[in-house]
Formats: sequence, structure tokens, C-alpha cells
Amino acid sequence: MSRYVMIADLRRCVGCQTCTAACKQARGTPVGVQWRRVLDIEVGSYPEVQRVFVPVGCQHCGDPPCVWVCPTGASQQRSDGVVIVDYKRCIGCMYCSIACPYDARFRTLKAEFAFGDAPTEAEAVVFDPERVAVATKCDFCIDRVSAGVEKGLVAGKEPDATPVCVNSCISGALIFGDLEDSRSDVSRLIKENQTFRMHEEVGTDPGFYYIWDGAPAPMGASDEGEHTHA
Amino acid sequence: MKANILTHKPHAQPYWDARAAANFICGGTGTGLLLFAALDTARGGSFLVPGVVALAFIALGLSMVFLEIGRPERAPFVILRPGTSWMSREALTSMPLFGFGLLAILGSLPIGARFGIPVVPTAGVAALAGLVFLYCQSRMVSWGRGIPAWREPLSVPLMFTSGLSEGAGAMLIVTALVAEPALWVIAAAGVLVILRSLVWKRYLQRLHDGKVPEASIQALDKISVFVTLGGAALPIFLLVIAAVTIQSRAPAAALAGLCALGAGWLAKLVLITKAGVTQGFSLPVTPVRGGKFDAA
Repeated sequence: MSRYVMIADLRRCVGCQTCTAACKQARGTPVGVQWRRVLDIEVGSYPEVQRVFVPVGCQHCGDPPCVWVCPTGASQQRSDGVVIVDYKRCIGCMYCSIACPYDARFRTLKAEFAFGDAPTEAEAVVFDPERVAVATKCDFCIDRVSAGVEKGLVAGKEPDATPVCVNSCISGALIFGDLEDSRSDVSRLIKENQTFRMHEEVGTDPGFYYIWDGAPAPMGASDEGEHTHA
Repeated sequence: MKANILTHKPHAQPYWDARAAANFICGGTGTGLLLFAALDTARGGSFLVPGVVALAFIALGLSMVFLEIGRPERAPFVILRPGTSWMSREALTSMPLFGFGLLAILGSLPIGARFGIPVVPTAGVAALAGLVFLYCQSRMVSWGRGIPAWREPLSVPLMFTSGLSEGAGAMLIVTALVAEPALWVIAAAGVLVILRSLVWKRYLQRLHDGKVPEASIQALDKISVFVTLGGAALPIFLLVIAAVTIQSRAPAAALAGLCALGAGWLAKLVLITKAGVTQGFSLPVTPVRGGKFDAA
């Protein structure tokens, strides 16, 4: 059994939004919809103030309220923990969005494109009419990941078995993998670093971890998420 | 102004608008009225007029949801998840509600009487289904885990008592128009509006004490005087007049009903459309970009 999770290393994220752009390009989300976005948050109080860049999106909760409230069964949790939407079954009531503590779901009532009513050549390639007027969200690029795993690739290791936002991250801040695999990067990083999850008090068991502070990376540590903190 | 849903700050939920509020408003009023109509029928009253009005309210509310969803042609799918979804349970409950409610209406007509359709039991079953329907609606709101003001557990008794109060108010109006409101309805309405007012005060207190976005609290605080004074104190005064004076019973009861109804509608409208503010994102820690060496 797998439990796919994602980690955002807040020490590394530079807020470049490449993950956001990669997601939009690969998944063809309409204007105003960002399945993967990076928040720019000011923390602390003067003079100890900083900007923190916080990647967010669907947290693929272990106890997902969006799945429980969905009246049609369109929102589902796979056995690997990934929460998906069956766009052919969704009625677009957006109860799931109301139930989600992470602002992760979107609905656009008509097809919208970057430059008017017609899609650009690139948009036409990824446009899916089934995603109009229903609840949409990040699915950890699960089709891509599953296809890669079927070919024998390791999820989160090889690019063909990894979500596009993680592949695109320029600073190695986003890491994806199987939490049930003790040898995976995500398992090791969570074990070796301080982490928190967003809004844990709501009790949804999010599958998205944030690494923060911790001891500095030793000199010469690789940039592939290979931190070895004391 | 359109809400910026990409911000990290709390913002108004953009999907459930006045149409969704109308479902809670009409559903609460309709099921409350259905209960009073069934009880009145058991005491010898006529089910026809209040029953028709009750079902019309509930149907109107459900049709508002139909207008709000993105894919109305798939609306029948809504019943597919009764195991976990209060929305599915609400939709499924509407079936016996309308089935038995329509039977009771038919039984109230001469043609129904000719076929021997019993009004009291069918109205009773419809009213019970109505109570379940109202409970489902109340629980639906509390599953708004992304909305702190909604996930507060007291939203359930608030929605439930409000629905019953609105039903009592509607019963007072309907009976005042066709006959004279019964004393037991006047007494029940008085108890219910007091109960709703107490739950409302406690609910607001809990929001003030909890981690709820200021915008939610402000929206509800603004209407609190209407819900407590206009929705409880004023109707109680009018109900006392209705109870002790024969001549002004009907107008006083109707006015009290209007107050009970208006306060509930206002509370639900604001709760859904204005107080439905997300919690946004907040960091429980203060991360340092680049690690401790860089931050030093």
C-alpha cells in the first residue's frame, strides 16, 4: 500500500512560481485557477519580519472532508491516498469546496482561455471540456505518476513518475513520494526535519508537509533533497 | 466585489450564494410549517392550505439549488452517496417527504377522501420526513470545514431551531389568513423563538471566543439585534397580545409570525452569503528561508 505525499521545504522555496506555471501549462487550467500556487506571506513583527513562500494546493488529506460531503461520489480517495475528482460524475455543487479547509478547489462555469473565447494552440492540446462547471483540483498528476510506476519507475524519483510541479521546481523545494516506503525521500526528510502541516487542528490528516528551519544543510549536500540534518 | 480566492487571507467563499441560502431558508420554513400542519391536522385542522404552502416552499428551495449547481443535467446523481453525504441524505429524504405530503394533500381534497386516503397518518409521515430533511440541512452547514463560522457545532441547533421557528411563524400567518390561529401554535411559536434566540446568542458567543475570521463575526453581529429583538422579543410581545385578546388575535399572530420568519431568513441569508468566510492560510511557525546560517 502506498501513501503519496508532497513536501515543501520552506527554506528552499524562492517564490518563483515555476511550479504554478508548469501546472497551468501541463494541466491546462483556466484563467484564475491555480491548482498549485505559491503564497507570499509576511511573518513575524517588526523588526523581525520576513517573507515566506508557501506552496499550497490540494493537501490530499488522509481524512478528506471533500470526499465525505460529496453527494455523487465524484470526489474519491484512491488506495494510494490521492484525492481525485471524477469529472464525468461531478454536478458542480461545490459542497466539496465549502468543506475543504485549503481553498484547493475551483469551478469555472464556462470554458475560459488566456486570450478570449478560443484556446491557444497549447491550450487546445490540454483542454478538457469535462472540467467545465464542475469542481476541479490538483490530483498530484496521478495519471502521469501511475503510468510511470507501471513502467517500473519510482514515484518521486524519476521525472516520468513525478508531478510536473515537482519536476519544474528550480530549488528542489518540492518533493514527492511514497510515505509508506521508508527509503523514499519524503519518508527520510520528514523523519530528519522539523515539519508541520497546514491547519492540522481541523483533523484532516493532510498529505502535504512543510519543512521549516532545522539545522543547516552540511556543506556539499546535494540539491536533490538530500539534506542530512543532525 | 469578486472575492480573490487565490489570496492567503480569509475571504468570502465564492460558490454558495443567495440561491444556496434560499434552499436553507425555504427548506427550513417549509419543513417547520409541514410539522405544524401535520400536528394541526391531528387536532382536527385542515392540512390542505398549510400543506400546499409547506411543500411549495421546500420545492422552491430545492429548485434554487438546481439553478446553482454547475451541471444541472446531472442533478439526479445527488442521491448517490447517502452513506457519507448530508446533501445526499437531504435529497433522498425529500422523496418520502413529497410522496406522503402530496398524498396528505390529496386526502384533504374531496377526490382523495372518496378513495379513502387517510390524511393524519400520511401528513404525520411527511412531517417526520420533514424533520429529518431539516436535520440534514443543519448538518450540511456544519460540514463546512473550510468555514470556521459554519463548522462551529452550534450551527446545527441554530439551523434546526430556526427552521422550526420559521415554520411556526409561517403557520401563524397561514392560519391567520384563512381562520384564527390556534392557541397551541401561538404558545409553540413563543417557545421556539425564545429557544432560537438563546441558541443564536450562544452561537455568536462561541464565534467570538473561537478562531473565527473577523468578517464573519462582524456580519453576524450586525444583524444580531434583528434576530434577538426583532425575531424573539417583538414576536413574544405580539404573541402575548394574540393570546389574551380575541379581536386582534389574527393580526397580532400574523405579525409575530412575520417577525419569526423574517429573523430566520435574515440570519440564514447572512450566515451563508456574508459570514461564509474561509480561514485562509496561517503559519503555525516562523520559517527561515535559506536555513539558520543565512538568517543569522
